Amino acid sequence: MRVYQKVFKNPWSYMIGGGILALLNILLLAATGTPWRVTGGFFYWGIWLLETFGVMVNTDISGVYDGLGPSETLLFNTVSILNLSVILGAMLSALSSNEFKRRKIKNKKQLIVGISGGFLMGYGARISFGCNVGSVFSGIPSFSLHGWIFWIFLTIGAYIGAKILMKYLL
Amino acid sequence: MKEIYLDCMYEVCPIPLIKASKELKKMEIGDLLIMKTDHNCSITNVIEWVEKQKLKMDYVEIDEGEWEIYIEKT
Amino acid sequence: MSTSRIEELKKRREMERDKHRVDVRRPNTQIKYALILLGILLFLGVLFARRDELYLWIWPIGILLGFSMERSRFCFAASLRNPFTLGTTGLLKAVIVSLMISSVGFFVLQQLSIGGETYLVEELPGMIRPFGIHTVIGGLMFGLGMVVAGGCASGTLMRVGEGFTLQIFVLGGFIMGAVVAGLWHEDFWRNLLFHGGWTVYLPDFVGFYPALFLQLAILGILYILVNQIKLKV
Repeated sequence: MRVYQKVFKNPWSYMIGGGILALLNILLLAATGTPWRVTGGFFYWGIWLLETFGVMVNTDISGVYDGLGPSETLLFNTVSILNLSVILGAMLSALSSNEFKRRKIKNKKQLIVGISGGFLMGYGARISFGCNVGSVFSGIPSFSLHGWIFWIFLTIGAYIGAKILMKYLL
Repeated sequence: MKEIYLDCMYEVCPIPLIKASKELKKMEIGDLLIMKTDHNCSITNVIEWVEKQKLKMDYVEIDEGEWEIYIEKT
Repeated sequence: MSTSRIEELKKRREMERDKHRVDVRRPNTQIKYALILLGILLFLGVLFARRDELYLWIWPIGILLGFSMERSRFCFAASLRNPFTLGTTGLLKAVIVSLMISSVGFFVLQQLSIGGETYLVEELPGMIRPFGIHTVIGGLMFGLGMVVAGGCASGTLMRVGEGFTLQIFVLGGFIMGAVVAGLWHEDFWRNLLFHGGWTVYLPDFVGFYPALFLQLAILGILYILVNQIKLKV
């Protein structure tokens, strides 16, 4: 019972979390050849949605498929499955500590701000070839300068965002 | 010796803690702040912040994924 | 950490709560759902692994990534936002340490993959990408977006798993942004970059071991600075 408390109920410290994530990333790279990245999967899901709903049939999207391997599809590929597993892993953790809860949206303002923030993230991640995971978490340990530069401007952007948050969203 | 109640349910972090820190600035010594939140990262945030401010606090999990946090201004 | 008054309140609240609880004997009602989910995950894992061996690794590692993030409330967005809004730096320090550990691990893997003297940067394991004006603008956009949306890419995934309805919409916005940038604006950004940006693999410039020690040193100094600086809120 005590083990349950310690592992599943009490939150882990940030340092332990960070350490485990680093080790898992190394393991992922060693086992599969690519480290942790996230945004690519979102892009594929978006393209899949467009295709399914018949939007933009004129645009040439054949280039999108270049990134996919021989047995992969837009929904079933390494990045997308990785993203799905992360979601479910978090869900497993929440359930096993009795903290899962369907948390509703508070008001329209929160929704609009959230979607806008998400849009900014998706756009920014796509044009710089990676998000916080791909560029910082995996880019910096790969000794690629782009990761450092992204991290620096991420911090500046976060500073501006924090100022906006304090001023207008409180 | 007032008790101030802060409802932060359904708020995205860091809003709960920012609201709390604003309230605490206005409070007097001996006042108690009661926060209700459903964001689990708020708990860890609060603990870290309170330790820095050297205030006293504790919390109760009142339901699945919901917490009540007590912070006393000392 | 608590005063007697707080303890009193806490006890009172706990008694209230336990009175109202429908099933006092088994307070941990979600465990059974956790076990059901675990079963589903195992089943899916086997299914995926049969399609491609790679998923034998990707599936469990991803699950552990999500699990660990949620357990430790690890939010990368908060690591950069909290210092500015609350003055707390615990997360940022953990991120720095995490990067130090991964740097060593990735270094080893990169060394192992290099056969002889020569190597192609494109073929090295890891995420090595070009930087340029797109990195600057992308970083600013992402940083701003993640703070107002309440989470970064990994944080959003984590919160979808935790049950936050808002994050599902954030994910929707994320997908929209990625598609707009990657599909309709791709030519604009590609033309903006000279020669497709500069790819700088640090060991190319300073050598392998110097690059490793330099990176670890910079991260170490960052850690010390973050630890010392008391940011005014």
